[in-house]
Amino acid sequence: MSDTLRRSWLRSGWGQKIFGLYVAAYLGYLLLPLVVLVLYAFNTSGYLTWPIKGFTLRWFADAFSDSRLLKATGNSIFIGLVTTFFSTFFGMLLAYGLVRFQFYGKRFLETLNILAIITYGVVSAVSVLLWFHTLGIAGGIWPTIIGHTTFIMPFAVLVIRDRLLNFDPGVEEAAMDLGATPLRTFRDITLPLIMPALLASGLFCFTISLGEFLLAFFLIGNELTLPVYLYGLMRFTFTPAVNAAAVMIVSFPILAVIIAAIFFRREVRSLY
Amino acid sequence: MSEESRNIPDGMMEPSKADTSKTPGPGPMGRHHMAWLVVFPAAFLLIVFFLIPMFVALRYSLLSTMPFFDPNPSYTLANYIRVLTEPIYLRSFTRTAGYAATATTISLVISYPVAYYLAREARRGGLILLVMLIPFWTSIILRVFSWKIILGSSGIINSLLKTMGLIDLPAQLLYNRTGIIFGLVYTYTPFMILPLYATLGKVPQELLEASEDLGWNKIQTLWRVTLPLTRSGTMSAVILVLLACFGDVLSAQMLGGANTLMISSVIFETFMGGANWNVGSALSVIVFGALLLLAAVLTWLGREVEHV
Repeated sequence: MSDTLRRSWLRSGWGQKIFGLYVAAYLGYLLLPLVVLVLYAFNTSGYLTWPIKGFTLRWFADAFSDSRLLKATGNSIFIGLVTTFFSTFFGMLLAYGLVRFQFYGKRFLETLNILAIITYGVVSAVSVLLWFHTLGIAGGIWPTIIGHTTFIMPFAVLVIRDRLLNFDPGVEEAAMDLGATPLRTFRDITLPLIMPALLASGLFCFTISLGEFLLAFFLIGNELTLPVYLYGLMRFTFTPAVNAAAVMIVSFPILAVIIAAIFFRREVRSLY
Repeated sequence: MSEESRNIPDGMMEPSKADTSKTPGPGPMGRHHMAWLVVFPAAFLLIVFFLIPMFVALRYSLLSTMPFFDPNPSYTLANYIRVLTEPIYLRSFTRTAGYAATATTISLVISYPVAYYLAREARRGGLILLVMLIPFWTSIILRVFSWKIILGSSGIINSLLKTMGLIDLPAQLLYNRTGIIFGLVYTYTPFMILPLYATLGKVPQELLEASEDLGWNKIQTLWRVTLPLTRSGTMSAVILVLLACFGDVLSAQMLGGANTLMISSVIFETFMGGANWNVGSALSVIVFGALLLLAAVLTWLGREVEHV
């Protein structure tokens, strides 16, 4: 009796309820800033004080007529897409090399990859700035893409490498034994198997790039990305038009997540 | 689902352990000469735009002035002497260490139960992870800014407290240590949860059941089985968040005040305002060195305990 009780402490009853409430509270805390942003995007007052006054769509109209905001958003999406492509592609190659080959310098590359992730911050950003200065490369969209790809690709490597480590290399060997070239094996066997990781990594890379501030700030030159633009606004004149833009940007992925959840539900279920 | 979603953060914080053990040596695919061809683009980026810039910063930190002012600058230690003797630098460095340590501790306490729940409740875990990713789609600037609205003197929390009659004057939650630590904890807790979740997911359920069958209660099992088994992974998560807090600029810039200057902000302002870049480089090199040392020590601590 007491054994069953103990074992089910988490599975049912108080333990699980408290646990569930705690996690729900955490999610609430995580999402609270978004809720606040949405509230103020529709608020009639231009001041960000509580309580909110009334409902308006004015800030959305403002957002659409703010050409710098639109430009910055466009740049961010462009940088995000290009960064995602190169990060995932190069990341996949590095992950594949690290998992399937033994070669001189392998440990070195692995270490570099991890270091790029854990030391990312203001120091890496200013170092890249100094390097570009030395090379005489002026800031702009492409330097930002290079910076983003360098520091976001290591995440892709980890995600994809993990997937490569978790399927049986025997299927690759079988394909090769049956006469497939390495390239064909990769295309027909490996690629489909790591596709979920590539998609996850792509989503991840795009998300990081879209919100990345430090590298973009130092490398964008006279152009703008959304975070750089927002940073400027917050130091000087802020209007809820920014909230409106944020609401529009965040609603796309939320829709995507909901659609994905509905779309993949059967597959998710079939795994149990 | 659990298989799939767990794969993502799994390898996250473990640099190379899995490789050597799982790769069955150079098999039919193990051709050495092809390897560098495959990894070349990534290796190029990492070496040319991550490794070399560090040495560039090191070089500038040892120069008397930037080469675009004087094509033949002399080598000097003056920048380092300045950084180590001027109290503003040292003070902001120790302050940053304090904030980072506090924020990381709070974040760990918040994260562990969440990660535990995610790992044990696989069915809901996937959905919760999806929800956890949503905030990342709004720029972190906006989220930090949102906390400014919430914590401000006429913000939501103060207004609520006032209407409830708990306070007369607004509580000062912004532009001080509270604000910064709040921002850091909020920003980096998800980065603590993901690796923790990965490492907790690897603890075999049978082991926990065995422990309880043998008479240990939940707390004892947590303390004597789960925690030791996840110590190395936990250390990885702690390193990630601690270093991220060190390098954070936005929380410090937006939620901090004049008396809470953090070292990353100092570096940021130095390069932004076009102040002395050589001193800025020296600062960067010192911070980078400190981060490497910290990561190495913590990794070593995590490893050592794991073997006991």
